[in-house]
Amino acid sequence: MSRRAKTLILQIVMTILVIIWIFPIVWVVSTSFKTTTEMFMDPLNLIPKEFTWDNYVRAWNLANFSKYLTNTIIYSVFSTIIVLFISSMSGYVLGRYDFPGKKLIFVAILATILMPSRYTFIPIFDLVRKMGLLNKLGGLILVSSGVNALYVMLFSGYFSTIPKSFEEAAIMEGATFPQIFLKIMLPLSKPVIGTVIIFHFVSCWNDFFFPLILTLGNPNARTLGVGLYAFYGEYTTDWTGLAAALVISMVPILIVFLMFQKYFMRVMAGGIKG
Amino acid sequence: MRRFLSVLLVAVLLASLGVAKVKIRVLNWSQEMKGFVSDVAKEFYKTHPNIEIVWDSVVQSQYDQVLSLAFRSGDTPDIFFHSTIVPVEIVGRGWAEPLEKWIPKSHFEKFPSVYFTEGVDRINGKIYALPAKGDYRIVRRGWMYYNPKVLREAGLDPNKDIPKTWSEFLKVAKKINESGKGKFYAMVIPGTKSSNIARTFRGFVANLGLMEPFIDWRRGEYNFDSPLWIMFYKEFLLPLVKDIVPAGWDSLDKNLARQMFVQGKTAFYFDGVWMPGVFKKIAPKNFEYGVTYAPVPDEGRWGYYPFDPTTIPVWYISSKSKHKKEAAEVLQFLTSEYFQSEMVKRGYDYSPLAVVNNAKLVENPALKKIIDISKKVGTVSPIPQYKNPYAGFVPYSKKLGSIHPNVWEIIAESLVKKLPPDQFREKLLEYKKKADESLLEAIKEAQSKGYKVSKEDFVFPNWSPLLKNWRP
Repeated sequence: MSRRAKTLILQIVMTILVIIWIFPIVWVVSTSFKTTTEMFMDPLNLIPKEFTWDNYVRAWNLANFSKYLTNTIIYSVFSTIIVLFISSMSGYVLGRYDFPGKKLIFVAILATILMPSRYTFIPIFDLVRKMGLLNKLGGLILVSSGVNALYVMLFSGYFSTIPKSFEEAAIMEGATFPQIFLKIMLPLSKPVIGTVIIFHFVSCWNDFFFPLILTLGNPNARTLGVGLYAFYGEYTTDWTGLAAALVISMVPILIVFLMFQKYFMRVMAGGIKG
Repeated sequence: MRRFLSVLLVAVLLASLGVAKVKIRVLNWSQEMKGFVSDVAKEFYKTHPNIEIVWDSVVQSQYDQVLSLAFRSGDTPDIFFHSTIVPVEIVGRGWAEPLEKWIPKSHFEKFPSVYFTEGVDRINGKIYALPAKGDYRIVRRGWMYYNPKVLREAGLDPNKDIPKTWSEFLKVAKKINESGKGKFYAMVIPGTKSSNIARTFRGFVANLGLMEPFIDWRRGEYNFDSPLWIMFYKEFLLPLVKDIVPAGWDSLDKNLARQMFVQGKTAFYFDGVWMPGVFKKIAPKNFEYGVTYAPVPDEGRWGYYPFDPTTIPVWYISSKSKHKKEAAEVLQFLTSEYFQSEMVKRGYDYSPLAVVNNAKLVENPALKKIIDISKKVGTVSPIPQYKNPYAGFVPYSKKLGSIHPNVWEIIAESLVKKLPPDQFREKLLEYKKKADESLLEAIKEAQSKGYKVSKEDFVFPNWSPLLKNWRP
């Protein structure tokens, strides 16, 4: 088989995979313009017969989008900034320096991956309550900004690959420890920063459980993830309204992804060396 | 000038004090009623300008966790709704405030007194809950809806040919399937969840006198050893699945089954009294439907639908509410004649209030018919609280709910595998053994907490599922 034929087969297979991969998203977009009847009776047809905007109007009002969108943006942006700050600093120290107890700290951070979040919500809930941050966006931001092992490992792995000479040259020039980190190392880690922003922003954006339980007494402090559940009624679910709400809530995530996809792709493709 | 400014300042202060409203948060899982509540609340605000009702709906799947955490934090809703955790347990957790301190006696007199039987909404002599919606004398679940258009297309007369017995149903269903030629069917079974199997066959089971809580009150034991279960499986369910229901039913979702019905793809759909409200949302404008009770065995009815006041959802005032006085005002409004009448008129539900005439107010013909038929097919049935108020502390339903596979799951599995009746019986007997053990465990649990209860509280020798006029 010629090389051209092989490439063609590969391209066909990849195209099929992409179509399968992207179908659910296209289906949600298509459903958001359909009537409920059409959604159930002709679910696989991607072009709506009766094109309707009603689902978007309902979605905006029912899910309290105007309020929840602002809350979600504040929550996701601040949490991402704090997580970036903590993870990059932890990763830098763990990736570049040897000190007593380093392995123990590393293992402790890694161990957090193995702990299901549902087991920790009661102590977290109590802690936030005792700090007086219940029903406030601040409490929510604090909870989602804790140490994340994946991000620390990403930064640590990245920083450990940077040659020592970078730091040595900076020290020779008289740079201090914070200056080396902030002005040399951090700018070099843009691919990891981009990846962490995408991962964490999306995670906060879609978060449901903590935004629900930490704002029990203040529905006005809730986020979109909670608002989306407004479409699940006692006896019925408004599927087309939910689809429209999902499309609206996807837009900001897509913007963030497009902004940072260059760096994200590099990390995902194994180009962590920058 | 200084004087004028002082007066102005005082006026502003007074005005700001005047508009400070007490927000009463009402936690519930009925998102559908949000618009209705904000509409009728205008009437409430005329007499209570200092109170604002915050209708806070949380999805039912998360509701219990949200409520538990709210009480853990101390920041609870002022009023909350529940139907699946019984009042005795809510009170045991210390969540509910006794109501008689805040609500006048005259208000309780608007409800049928059965709700305030000890062990129902009255615990240790105090009333803790008020019925929210629904009437225990109106059969709530197990109705058969039919689509007259499909029946006519199949050459049947919707006024004469609605099947009343199992064999009539199977015969009519066969005719519909033959006429439909794959375009429409008699019925489908939404089989993805056991709760959907239950919603489909509950009415049939009620006609056999076997409905929830599945206790044969004559013996005080679970009824899963009744030969009627086997008869139902052998004479109705197996032929239904073999000859009538299209293949793949076990992966069919409830929502799709409903859509198939409203789109004229099926002639029959089985569900609860809430369906007229659902049809209003999902059906085309010209959709017509009828409702009646599920078919009975050919030799006749073996039992009636049980009227059970403990199944009616209730409202509580939180024991931790900081505004109990205002919460009581809101609760009285939610259970007022005005609110409840509007709820019935607009087709959201029936009212539990004795002073509200559901039959007169309800406008939907199907909901009207349900009231009429309920009188014929329903009857007061035992609950252990009638015999011993402390029996309400026996968590037998909760214990039964934790046993899997449950009866509906056994039915689904047996039908999917088309098991012979003998094997179905074996599975049911195994389940009965576990169920009876769970009942004894539940009694022991209540005894260990100091409640004087026994298995005898679950025995009503003078009861029979066919007794229409049984009274506690």
